[in-house]
Amino acid sequence: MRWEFLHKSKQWMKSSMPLTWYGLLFFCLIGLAAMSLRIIEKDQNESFIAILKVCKTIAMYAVGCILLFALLTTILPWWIIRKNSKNIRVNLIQQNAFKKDLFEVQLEIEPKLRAHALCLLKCQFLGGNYLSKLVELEESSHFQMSQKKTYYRAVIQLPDVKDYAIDTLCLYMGDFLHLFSFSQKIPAPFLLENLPEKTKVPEVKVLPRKADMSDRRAETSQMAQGDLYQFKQFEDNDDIRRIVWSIYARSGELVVRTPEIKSEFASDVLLYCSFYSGFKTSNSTVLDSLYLNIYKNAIWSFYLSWTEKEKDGQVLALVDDNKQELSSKEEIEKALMHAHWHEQPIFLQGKEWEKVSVILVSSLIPVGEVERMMQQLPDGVQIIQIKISEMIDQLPSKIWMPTLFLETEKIPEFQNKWQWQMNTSRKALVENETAIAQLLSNRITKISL
Amino acid sequence: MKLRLKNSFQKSLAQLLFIGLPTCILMFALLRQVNFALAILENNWFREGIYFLFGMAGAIFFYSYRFRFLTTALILYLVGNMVFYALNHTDLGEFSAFWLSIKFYLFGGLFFFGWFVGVGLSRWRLFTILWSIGVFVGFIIVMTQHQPIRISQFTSAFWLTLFYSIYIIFVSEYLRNLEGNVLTNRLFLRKTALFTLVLIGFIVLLGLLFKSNFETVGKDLASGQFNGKNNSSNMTKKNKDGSLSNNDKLNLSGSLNKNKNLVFVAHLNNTLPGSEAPNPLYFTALYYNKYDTASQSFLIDSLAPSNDLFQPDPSQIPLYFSKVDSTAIRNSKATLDRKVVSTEVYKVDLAPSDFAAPSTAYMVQPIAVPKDYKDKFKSAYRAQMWVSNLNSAYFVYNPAGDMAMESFQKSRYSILRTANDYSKETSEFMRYYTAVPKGEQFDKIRQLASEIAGHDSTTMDKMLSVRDYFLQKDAAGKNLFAYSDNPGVPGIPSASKLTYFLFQNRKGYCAYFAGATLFLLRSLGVPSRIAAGFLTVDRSSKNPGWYWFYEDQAHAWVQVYFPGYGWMDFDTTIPDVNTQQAPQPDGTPPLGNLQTYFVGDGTISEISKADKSVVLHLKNFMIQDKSFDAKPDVDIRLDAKVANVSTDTGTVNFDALKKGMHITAASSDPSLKNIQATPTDQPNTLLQTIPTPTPVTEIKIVSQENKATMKNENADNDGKVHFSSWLITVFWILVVVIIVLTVTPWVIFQVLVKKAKTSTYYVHRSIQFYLNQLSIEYDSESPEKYSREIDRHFGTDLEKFSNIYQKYKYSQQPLSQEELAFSNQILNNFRKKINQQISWKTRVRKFVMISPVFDFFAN
Repeated sequence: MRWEFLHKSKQWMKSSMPLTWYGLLFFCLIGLAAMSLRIIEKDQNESFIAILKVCKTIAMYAVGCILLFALLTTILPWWIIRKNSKNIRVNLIQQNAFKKDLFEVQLEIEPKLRAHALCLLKCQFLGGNYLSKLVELEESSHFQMSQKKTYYRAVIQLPDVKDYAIDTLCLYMGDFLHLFSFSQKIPAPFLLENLPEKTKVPEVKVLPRKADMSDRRAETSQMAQGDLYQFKQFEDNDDIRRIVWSIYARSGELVVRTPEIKSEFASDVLLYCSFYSGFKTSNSTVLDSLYLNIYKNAIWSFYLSWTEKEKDGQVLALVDDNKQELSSKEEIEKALMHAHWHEQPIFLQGKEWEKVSVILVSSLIPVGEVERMMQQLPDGVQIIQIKISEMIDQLPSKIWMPTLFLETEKIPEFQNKWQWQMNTSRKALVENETAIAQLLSNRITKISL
Repeated sequence: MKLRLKNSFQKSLAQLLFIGLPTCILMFALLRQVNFALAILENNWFREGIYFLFGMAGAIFFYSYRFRFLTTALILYLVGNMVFYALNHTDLGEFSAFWLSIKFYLFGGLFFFGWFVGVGLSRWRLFTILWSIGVFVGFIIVMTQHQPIRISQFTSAFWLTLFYSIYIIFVSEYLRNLEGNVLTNRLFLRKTALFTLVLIGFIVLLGLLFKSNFETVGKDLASGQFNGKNNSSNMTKKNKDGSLSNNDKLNLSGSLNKNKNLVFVAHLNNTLPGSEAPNPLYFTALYYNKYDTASQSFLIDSLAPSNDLFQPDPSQIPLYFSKVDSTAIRNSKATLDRKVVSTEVYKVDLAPSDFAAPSTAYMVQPIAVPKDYKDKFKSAYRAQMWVSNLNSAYFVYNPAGDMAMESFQKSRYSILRTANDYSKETSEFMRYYTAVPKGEQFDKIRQLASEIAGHDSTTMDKMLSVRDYFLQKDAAGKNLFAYSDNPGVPGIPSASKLTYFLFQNRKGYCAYFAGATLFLLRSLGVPSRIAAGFLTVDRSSKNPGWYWFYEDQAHAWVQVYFPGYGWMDFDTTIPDVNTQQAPQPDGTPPLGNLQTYFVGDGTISEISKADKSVVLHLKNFMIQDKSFDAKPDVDIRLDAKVANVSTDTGTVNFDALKKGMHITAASSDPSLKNIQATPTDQPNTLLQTIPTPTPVTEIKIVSQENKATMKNENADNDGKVHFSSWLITVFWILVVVIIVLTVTPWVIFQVLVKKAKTSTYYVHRSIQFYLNQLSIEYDSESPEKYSREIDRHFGTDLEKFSNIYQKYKYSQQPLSQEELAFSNQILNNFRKKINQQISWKTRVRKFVMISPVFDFFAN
């Protein structure tokens, strides 16, 4: 609570103060410098004072002019932006194809800012409890863009696999020396979806089970004769029983109906994953998010790997409290994105387990709960334990000596490890993980990462 | 574990090019200035700049990897210290090891400084601001060490520093926010180039605007005029308390000021060998061993080899206690024809902390000023010197006709002619004291020296040839050289004043004669140095051995080193005819100092003003010239009814004594005359033989404690502001700024309310300001809709007022009485309604924010 207050105060000062911390320090030091020169002046002889006075005058003019110029180049764009805040549009352009947590946002400011060359624009996205880092805006130009507008682009990186409802964009205008800073809030309602990413997971063969598919069947073509829509050329491995002989008789071409590539009798893989966390000892929102991201990405990666292999049936998913079986990638992706740790125990009961092929168990489910679940499982259901401690990786045992000389805590790939290593609940979590692993080792179908 | 780069190689290279290189260029310039000011640096500014560059470049690349600063810098520091320790303990000969370690210390210091600046500018954001402003102020401080300043040199360094200070903030901030291929980032390169060009243009513009100011100062510098006052150069400097000291630098300036103030009076018991005739000696205060070619002035070098200067602070030594430094005798390297001579110096205008005595002094003992002379003399000390029988103030002033003096001169010349073997002197000693700067002007002096004394084989003859050169006459029988207090300066400011004096002008005062003599002698391989102090003039035989020293006797002369005989005064300055014509009258010497039987040194633990007694917490004491330490410290009561209380600056009242003050009390009371003490006596047993209360005749407040006690009282007067007071000032400035910022919205609102009493427009503005400040906003298309929203929410009558205001603003019809009355009262009612729904805490919180004010006036 106290930190939150400090955080809010800092944010308030940042958006209300016309000075940056850098600028504040600059003005304090300028004051100190002026005072020290005054003191030095008292100790000097007159020959020096004559020169010192000229120097002081020049320094005063120089600093005054530079500061005035800096202030003008900040206040002018700020004034224009403030006056035309309704004409500023914030568009989400794209999500980076390679790094899905990167989003590119475009700002259109009308009228065109003439003083932008000397003004440094930064922005920050706000929404709910989310506050993005300060991002520098880069001017972008394209021949198709309007000459009456200034276009800027910003790339923001979202830390967690979830959706972010952004409602406001806070624009910061600073001078070329980074001393002044004026801010303007602009309504920017849009949703940024940070989807799960594929990570490296081991190959695990799953056994499909006949899921409840009675209401589904292969589509039957309602097309007119001669219409080859929803037909494809026969290829190797296509089921010869599905060849449309009537077309062959007419045209001599071997074709099969596309919906019939999959067997309507094939069994599907139903994946179940729970976001139940009976483990309240992480004491760190950072680590909670980290565990969640790791777990979501692992589930998504397993799902993708099975989808690629499953040719006959399909991979369905039961994501936590969503009792509806999800079949499309998009649905599963979004369900994962919205999932979060909760304290409700695993909800499937009794016979509901029969259709499940594979269960993904996180390290945050208490071992007792896993045991209870196992008692209800029919034979053949696979349980895959996602060991969060292994996904985070341990710091090398010899890290302490290099840490003396290297800022390992600032190296991105070590940051999480440090959080993990320094967390007081780590031991309890690992113990729970080991206990689950021990429990699963008795099952023939267990697969541990 | 693989090392990972914090910055890309290109970024590090860009940091080196755009931050490191300009910083190093500036450091080269600043180090050049520092070298001129500090003799020990030996004008190796380029090499020192390279040390800094290595440190800085090393740090920029080293810390581009994610190395931790604290531990790596500590290792660097430890390695440096180990090397330093090893050098100090290397058996290279004491002096070589000393110089080697000093040089390494310099290298280490600059390298580490460069390292620190490198890491600061490349890694720590706030450091840039600190560095930028620090460099500018540092530059000014360096300039204070460098006088007189050549204006062209100063201005170029000033513009460079100003340019750098602004440039570095811009470029380091810019670079900090860039990643990747910085060197190929066209926008960065274009903006940096543009900024640099604009900044250069701005600096040039400032240069043109202030050119005349600098030129005026430059002209004043060259002519020795400042602010219309003739303050060209003095042999002495005036301290804040009005006392005088010898100048830290010996300047060659256009003119010399001379005052007639009495500085001190001294008694010297030196006589000519085998005679009772007094032999006056120059009173030495300082040695100038090094010449600064840039400022053309002679400098003190405390690290000169075999430095035999005894520089005690008499004001810090308790009365009648003595300070002895025998290393001065050892460093004088004089063993032949020496004797111990003593002097008593009675200060008038000489600074309390200053010490002047004939060379080579090794002991000082503050003494009391006789009671009858308390008004005239402020303090006094006794000194002992290791003096040569062959030394005398009569080197130029040949006492023609005085047979005794002439025979003395001849005999000492013949003795000193035998002292020519410098082979036993260390090479460092010889190299240091025969050093002549390089350059065309010094080549000319070398050539002249060779012409004057090239044929002389002995040091003595070389000295005499140089003396004769200054005394020679031209074809018309006129003196070639003349003494002048206003010799003027060469037309070109940077031209050498010494060559101008030697070859063109041939007029000058003591600094010119001493400077020219020094380089002539050094060119001839004669170890020599410049001494500064006071010229001793024997004006009358009325009080033999007593000499009066006036301000215009402040003097500089040369001392020449003779192996075995040590340093001899050698004054080649042509006598000043004007001074000779108008000698100052000498007064009565301060005779009558009574025998002191008891001296006690300690702090006051109790004062009784009623009976003028003092309880002294005694630490040391003297009985009949024998000193003892009180073990343990004891309290003794002093009867100060007849005591004279004094400080270094003169007599003060008894009331000036304060509890806790460090004082020395002395007694010449006859009741103590018969107390005898031997070194074997137990100190505290001895104290029991002293009558209580002990009658004292003299109480001296020792300066150090005195200052400490009166520190707070004088804080405002001495002009020194301490760091804590800076912090307090900054704190108060910040408090004031914050108060002003927080109060501004309320003040503006009050102004608007006041104006609203007479204008409907300001009623409207006041309401708008109030709503704006309280962040009450609605997305409304028109004022009516907005007012309606406000009314709906707060139950106000804003819509009605809005209509009245629209009429006031757009209609040509005047407002009715009713409307006016409504307008006049709306503000108070409106505020009341709003205040009912918004708590005072929220209102205060909103009203202290300054940003909505900008928002209000911007729209």
